[in-house]
Amino acid sequence: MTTAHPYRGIAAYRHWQRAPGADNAAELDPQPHTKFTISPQDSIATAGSCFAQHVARHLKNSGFNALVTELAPAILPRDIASKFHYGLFTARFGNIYTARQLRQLVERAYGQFSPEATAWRRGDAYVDPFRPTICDFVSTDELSAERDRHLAAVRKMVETLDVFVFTLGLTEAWLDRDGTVFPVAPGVHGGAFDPERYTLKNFTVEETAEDLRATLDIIRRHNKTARTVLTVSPVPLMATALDRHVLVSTTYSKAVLRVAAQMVTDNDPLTDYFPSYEIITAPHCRGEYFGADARSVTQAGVDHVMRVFFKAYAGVEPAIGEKSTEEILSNGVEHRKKTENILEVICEEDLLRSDEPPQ
Amino acid sequence: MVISMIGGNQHLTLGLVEGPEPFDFECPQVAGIDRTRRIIPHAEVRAALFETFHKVLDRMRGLREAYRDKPMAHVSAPPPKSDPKMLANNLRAYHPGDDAEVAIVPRKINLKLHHLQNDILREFCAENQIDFIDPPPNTRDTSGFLQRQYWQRDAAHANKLYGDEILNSIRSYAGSVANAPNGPKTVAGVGTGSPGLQGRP
Repeated sequence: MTTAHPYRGIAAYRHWQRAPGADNAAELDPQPHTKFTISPQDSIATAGSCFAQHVARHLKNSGFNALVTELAPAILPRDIASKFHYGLFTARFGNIYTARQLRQLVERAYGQFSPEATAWRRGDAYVDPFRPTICDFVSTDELSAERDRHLAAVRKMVETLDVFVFTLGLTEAWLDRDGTVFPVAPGVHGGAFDPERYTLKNFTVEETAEDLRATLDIIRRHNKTARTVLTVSPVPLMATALDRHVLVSTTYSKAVLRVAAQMVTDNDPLTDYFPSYEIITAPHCRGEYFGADARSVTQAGVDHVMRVFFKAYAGVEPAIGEKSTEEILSNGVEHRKKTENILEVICEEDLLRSDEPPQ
Repeated sequence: MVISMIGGNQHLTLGLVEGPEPFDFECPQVAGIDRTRRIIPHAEVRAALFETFHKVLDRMRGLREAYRDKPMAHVSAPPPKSDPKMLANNLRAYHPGDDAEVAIVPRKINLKLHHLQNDILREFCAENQIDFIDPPPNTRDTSGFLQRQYWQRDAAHANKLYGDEILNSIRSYAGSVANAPNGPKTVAGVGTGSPGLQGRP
């Protein structure tokens, strides 16, 4: 005799043994349904940590409309433009690791937050504390002008995107005395570390969720129908500022981000969670989606994530695969070559790869 | 002694005919910036210009390796010319049948690119034990452009008179290396000039 219970008759994907993937990892599909769909015509904005760069590349290479609002100068060849971070994301943010960093970015773009820090010295040059690896500037005037252009591109992104894909990366961050959060610790790539001024912050679930909600509030104030997909980067921390094993800090960080993402997506019909983290770290995959350094995500892993993403949101399984360079407007390069004839003529975290731990 | 006059007009690839996106950039040696154009960070303009230098630097490197024990200097290209109308008229010859005015990059921006070109070359030369010979100061006007008396009537080159100035600079350089074979070889205070030199003497 059988009895009724809550698990009888549930869909296969809800049951570990019946859900495809244990025998063949390629069949793992942890996104059986979504809150909304994405069409190739939708303008898709991307931002986040290193892993988000993979998402941006695949969108573009798969025929989707990856929104870019901060275009490279026409004189820059594509491969050089990407080294200056053009086209890696929708605008030239650099990597955005924490929800607070994202929140302060949109607040700065709309004049709601004016950080005390405006420029860091790096040798004879200056860098933008909020994206220190994109470019060295010869003066603070040059830096300031370029930041104005960047923040205008952020506003354009907010106001024109249809879908915003944000990949959460970290909970640890360095804060200035006015609460400004930086993507890397002062002193790592410009600036100087002052222990009296800068403090370590390890964001909690509640703080992360609140920062995400505040960000989405600003976006929707300017774009009422914006849809958001939150993901968590599966890439472990390169280093932790806390005196404990980096793996323990990694699990804390990912757990916080995962829970915060769920808290924000629950009860919000315009925000969805996509399980990038789960696909890469799933026991089904037996660690094979991590490279030899046990941190980098392999191409096969990225392809799996994006295959599930496209199938879930667009109902398609496009032939995907990363190309080496971004499609960035660079008509000027062709122009330069013509002139020659007449005359006869790019992960800030990797900064921590060395032995030197963050200050 | 080895004298390199390889290359020279790379600055004109970005600084002669207007491209699809007019730009300006901050240059420490030239004051002023036109904010009606796209302002590109100096580092990005440098990277774009550097892309045109690979063959030039390969050839200079080859020369340096072939004559490892000899003093070697590279001669700067002549400073750019200040007259956009002359340049436009000259370039029209390359577009027969096209009466449209050739849009010329503002001369001050070309001057900036010339300075940037020499910054790139000086850096390369310093890394490869090559001395660098600047344009003779007396060949520049007060704004830094090539004085009209040294113009070849084309977009890129200087004339024989300028070539004479360069030869003087090379002679001074030769004297300096002869007198101080193991010492610094830079010709202090002596202008020396440059080529772009395909057209000159």
